[in-house]
Amino acid sequence: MTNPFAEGENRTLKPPATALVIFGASGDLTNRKLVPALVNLAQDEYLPPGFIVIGVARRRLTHDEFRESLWEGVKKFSRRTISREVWERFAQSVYYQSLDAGQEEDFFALRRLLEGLGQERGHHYNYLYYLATAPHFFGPISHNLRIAGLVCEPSVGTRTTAIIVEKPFGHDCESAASLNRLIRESFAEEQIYRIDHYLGKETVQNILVFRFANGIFEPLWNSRYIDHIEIAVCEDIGVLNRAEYFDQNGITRDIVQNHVLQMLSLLCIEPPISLSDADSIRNEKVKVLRLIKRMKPDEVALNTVRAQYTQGFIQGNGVKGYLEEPGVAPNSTTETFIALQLEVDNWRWSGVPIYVRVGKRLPKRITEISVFFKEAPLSLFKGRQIDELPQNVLSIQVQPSEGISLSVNSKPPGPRMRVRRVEMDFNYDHSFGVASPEAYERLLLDAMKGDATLFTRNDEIEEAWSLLAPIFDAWGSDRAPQLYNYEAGSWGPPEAAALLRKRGHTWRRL
Amino acid sequence: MVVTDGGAAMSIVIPSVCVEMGQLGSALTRAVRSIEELGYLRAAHSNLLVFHHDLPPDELGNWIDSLTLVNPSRVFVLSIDDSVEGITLDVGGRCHRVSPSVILCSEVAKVTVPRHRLPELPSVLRAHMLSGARIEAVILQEAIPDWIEQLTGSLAQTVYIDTRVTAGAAQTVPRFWYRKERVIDCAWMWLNPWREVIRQAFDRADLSERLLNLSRVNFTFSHGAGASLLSLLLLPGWIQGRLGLELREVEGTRVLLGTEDGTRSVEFNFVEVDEGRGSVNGMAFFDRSEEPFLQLRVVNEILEGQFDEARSWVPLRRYGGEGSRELLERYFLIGASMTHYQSSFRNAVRLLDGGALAVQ
Repeated sequence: MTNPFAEGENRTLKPPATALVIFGASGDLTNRKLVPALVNLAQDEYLPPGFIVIGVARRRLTHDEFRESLWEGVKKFSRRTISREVWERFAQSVYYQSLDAGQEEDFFALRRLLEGLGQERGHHYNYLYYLATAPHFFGPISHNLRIAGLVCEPSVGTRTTAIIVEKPFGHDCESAASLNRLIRESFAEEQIYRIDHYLGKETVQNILVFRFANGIFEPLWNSRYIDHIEIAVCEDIGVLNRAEYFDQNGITRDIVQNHVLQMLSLLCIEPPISLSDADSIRNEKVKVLRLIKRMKPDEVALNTVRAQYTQGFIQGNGVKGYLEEPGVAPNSTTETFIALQLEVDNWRWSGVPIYVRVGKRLPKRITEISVFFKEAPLSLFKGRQIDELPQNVLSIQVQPSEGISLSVNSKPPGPRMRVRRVEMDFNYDHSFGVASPEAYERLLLDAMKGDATLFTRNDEIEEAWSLLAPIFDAWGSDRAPQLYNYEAGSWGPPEAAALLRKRGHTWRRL
Repeated sequence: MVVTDGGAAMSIVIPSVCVEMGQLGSALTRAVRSIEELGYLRAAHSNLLVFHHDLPPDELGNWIDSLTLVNPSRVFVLSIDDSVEGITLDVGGRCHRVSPSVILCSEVAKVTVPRHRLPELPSVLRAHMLSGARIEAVILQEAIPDWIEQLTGSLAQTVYIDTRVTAGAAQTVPRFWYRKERVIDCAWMWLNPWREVIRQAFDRADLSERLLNLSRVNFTFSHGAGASLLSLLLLPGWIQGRLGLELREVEGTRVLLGTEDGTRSVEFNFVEVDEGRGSVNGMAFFDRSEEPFLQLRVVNEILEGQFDEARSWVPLRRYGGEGSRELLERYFLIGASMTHYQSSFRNAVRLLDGGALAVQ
């Protein structure tokens, strides 16, 4: 039965009473992202009444020791200053439980803690489980949650339960399917929230608003008017303390399989039935991923360039090459850079190349989506010493600062007919006077409210892996395409530029 | 903050402060935001690398002020100083109030680097350039050492130089082209009045007919202080190229040119005069008669023309002693045709290598 009181009402900002259980709470993610996000939500009074968070890990800690360990992370990583007073108030809702993911009795103890806190605080909590752990724990944790009676059937009973998992969602098609099967033994699909934190970023969400809330862009959003698209995810950092994980996966699995393909799908989707319905949007995203041309084995070398950074300079500081990083195998062939050319093979996008450039130890940290429109005909300007008309470029900056700019050609003041490029732009910080929330703030809040719009569905993940499978197969074969090198602090190997030159394109200057 | 009244536009100098490497981008933004309440409008749409060798700070400031009005940029002023330990950064701004509510600013980062840290410099610049904006280099010094060539080659799309004063331009400029950089040469822009006048002269039907029988062009020129021979030959090189002529022979001050099929020969003669400021001072065009059918000369910074021997000299254009700064300002304001620059330059190099303008 639909709720007769829901009609005509705005969607609720505050979720129902929730207990968030973070598995792997002693790790980096909790310290750097999750708890700072929660504290900011608390400061803005978005958290539900009686909200509690229970950190769970193998280490033995008291509640107070755990709380104190989080305060340092909040001071360092919160997007704004949090007063000690706000923290103290929030910390009263933070608890800790030592737990071994393989031990059933530890999960029964967790249940007793949750039920006890619910009684003590007078709230009937929904349970939200955040798995900030390595993927091989997903199966045991979800299994033991079910065994301990901590998983409820969806739409049955008085409590909702859900699970949030972080990438990587597997290593390839098979492992992703296997991981999903393990979690699905205990949770229904609608109870699984797969996080891609890029979807929590304001500018990524703004792709849909920008496209569908403005009448001027959608008529141009097709192969007739768009020449090509570039997606760049550039990091200036190396592998830091993730060397072991990274060396097993590489940047294609780490960034392209999730963040890049998510942004690409939002950019290329057909208008969904509704922007208010999670599955409408996700259905359209899956279609895009399904329609991206799969590469044949002999096309991989033509359409991809992979490389590894060597020693160089980042902002004047000398940095090691990838093979010299601690934790990296000395003969590693893991790529730290990839450039690839994709194409969505449908009526809207056929013939429009989508270039992707992702790498570590590039000169600066920047993530940008650039849509290059076709050039205007030069014919009107012949005889005017105007040799070229630069393309109009719509640029969506995702990080470090979020904003959108459109470059247009204009006549500069003066007696001659000349053309100069100018930018029309908006920056979130300047335009709205309100700081953008961190991605995790939005995502955690949506998960508590049961809104899955910004989370990835299983079929999206399967399609993403199937798209990349031929590339990984080619790289692992006897006739693997070459792994190039690039100096840290440069924009990648020259072969990446050659990839675009085939169609007369060049990489956008970042 | 120092505010000076520069006439129609009021100049504002944001004093520079020393910053840490990782703070460069945010410091640049903060520097110009510090005057936001005065009506700041950020218009920087290019990255500008400025190379100078011991240019006095005031003059450097004047350079940036001039360019800010016509081409506001994020400016990186680069210089070598072996007395400093590491790469030092000073961040400030040069601004102009162009209306009661609008201020144009160039963000200025002075980057000083000791020679042994030069390999690190590109990484600093790449990290802090405006995304999506063109990268241009202005070279304000006579010698262009390897490090400047390499740096601009790896970063810049356009290089602004002045071959009137650039040493070794004959070798350096082609290397910029090899690296696919566009070269805007102040020496070429300085010749705009000459090229315009010659073009307009031969728009006349009577003169264009006589051009068909062109046999000789006499050039008078003066070396002037420090003017490069190459820049003096740009104009002859242009005429050579536009007429489709190739170099045949150089005999002292006499240069023989001809078409590839041998159907036409033209002679260039070069006569040096004492007075002048390092430029072509006069030209005379001859067909088969002994008297020129077109003469051009510069007197008191006016380019005059005489269209046959019976007529008096007619003032046509002002041809002043503009420096690099004025020429670049004009370029950003009204542009200049560079279409035939490259071919004219190559012709000039061949003329020079062939011995034209050899010591007389």
